[in-house]
Amino acid sequence: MEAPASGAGAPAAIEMTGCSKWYGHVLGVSEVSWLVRGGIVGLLGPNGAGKSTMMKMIVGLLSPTRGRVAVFGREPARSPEARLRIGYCPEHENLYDELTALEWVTCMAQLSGLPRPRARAEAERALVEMGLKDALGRAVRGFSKGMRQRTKLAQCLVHDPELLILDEPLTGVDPIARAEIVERIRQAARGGKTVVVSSHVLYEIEALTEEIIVIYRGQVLAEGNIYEIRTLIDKHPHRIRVECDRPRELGRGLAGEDHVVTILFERGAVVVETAEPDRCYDRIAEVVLERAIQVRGMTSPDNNLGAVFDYLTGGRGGGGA
Amino acid sequence: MSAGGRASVLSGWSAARLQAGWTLRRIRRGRMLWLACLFALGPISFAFLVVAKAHHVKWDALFAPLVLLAGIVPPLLSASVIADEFEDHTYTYLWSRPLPRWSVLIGKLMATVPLAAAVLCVTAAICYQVGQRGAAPGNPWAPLTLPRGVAAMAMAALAISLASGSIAVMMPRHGLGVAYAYLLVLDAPLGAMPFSIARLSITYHVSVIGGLKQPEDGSGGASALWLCGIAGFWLALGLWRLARSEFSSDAR
Repeated sequence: MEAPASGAGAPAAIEMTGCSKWYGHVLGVSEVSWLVRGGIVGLLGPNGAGKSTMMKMIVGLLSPTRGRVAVFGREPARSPEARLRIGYCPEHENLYDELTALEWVTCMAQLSGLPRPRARAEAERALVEMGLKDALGRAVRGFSKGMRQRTKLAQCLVHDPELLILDEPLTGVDPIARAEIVERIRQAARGGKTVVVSSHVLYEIEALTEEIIVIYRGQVLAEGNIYEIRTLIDKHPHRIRVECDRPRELGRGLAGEDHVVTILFERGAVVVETAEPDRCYDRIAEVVLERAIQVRGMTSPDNNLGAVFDYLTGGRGGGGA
Repeated sequence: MSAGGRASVLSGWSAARLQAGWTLRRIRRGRMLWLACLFALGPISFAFLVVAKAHHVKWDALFAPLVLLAGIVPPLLSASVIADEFEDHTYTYLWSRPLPRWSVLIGKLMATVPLAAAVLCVTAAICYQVGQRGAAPGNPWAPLTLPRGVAAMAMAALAISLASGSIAVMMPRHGLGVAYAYLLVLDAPLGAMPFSIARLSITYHVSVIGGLKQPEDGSGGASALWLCGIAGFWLALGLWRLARSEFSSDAR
């Protein structure tokens, strides 16, 4: 990967120069150099590839063992001013369960430096924008996975940061919530924010951007507009697991579609293997709406992506785990 | 931002105060405070029992269960609140914000130390009131018994909260268990030793301040200073660990 050029004028949103991160003897990220000036950038790679490590270095949770990370020209781990301009949505789903959604996002807004009355108003606005108007006063303890994702995104946006770092924001959410979250992220980018979003599912990233950085075993494999990768991934059947109240009903709705390779049933879920993920996602959404099926979550196991990356690296892998 | 103006970087103390407020709200709605109050019923019940059974009640008999309570309540509040933050990875929301890391630990302790002190001091005062009724006629308890008991409980809340909070930072996965193990296996036996090494024990100094033990040299004031020193040592250890911590086990 090319080393970033030192830009004239305003500093880049993100500038990583020769960054490596070791966890003891295990390499998390190896010699990554990356420059992001704006727009939406997708970080694609299977679980354990180093996406979260890269994101944690960008938000200042981790410091690189070697190399340098700068956010708007400052080192995020040392500079509160840099972190003030970042909104981070971590991968885990834990929130303060004793608080209501409004209290929790207000708390995060206050800790981002907003005075109390403004913090509450902005928290309310952010939650309403994320479609949680009816859940403002509910304790987050009872929230579904999709509601938790939306609440996490609300806390990430509440202080109006210029850079959004979203770690797997679409994991486990139902198709309707997915479409709403994608639109909200696009809206933020249209408003001038820089967005870095990670996923192990290409089709999630594709819904947001064509600018992709592919990371595998701690190393950057490719960067840019990657139709080639997409073609390769399409050659491998893609699995979609839908957790819902009537998996057999959903399976019946998908049976007979020419793009569906196999349909397997698990307890409370249906796993569909497809040759054309785009069409399959659309068809799932149609069947869910037509037959009023309650979807609890939708995930895409990344086995196929790992196989493609193994193919890309010729089975060499990288230094990391 | 719709309301105009941008967010600004908070000072460390402002961030700590904010976190203390939110931590108090969470504790109030959680189970730990009620559990602490339930444990506090132990010494009070014991005081009633002693007054009912014994002819002449001595403060020493009532203060020993209070020392035990002081080893239970502060870790229950401090260690659990701090360990949960790291165990649940919710620290990621805090550290990605423009706050100094130390404000997380200090903010939580600003909430838990006064709560623990309140539970312990009120329990001590109730035990005193109950026990005084059973004091030998014509031989009332010394006038400083209650102030000394309350002071001992407040100092215990401070020192044990800081120690257990720092232990939770260092070992978040088993923070509460390790804090109890430290107090039970190391601190209490150390305090019972008839050597000067006993001065390293929190339990020893709490017993001295409360009048349960007579110091070989020094006084209650010296013990208060020792407790401040021990508390300061633990706090420094916790802050040092926090500053260099990356919690890399979950980082990937």
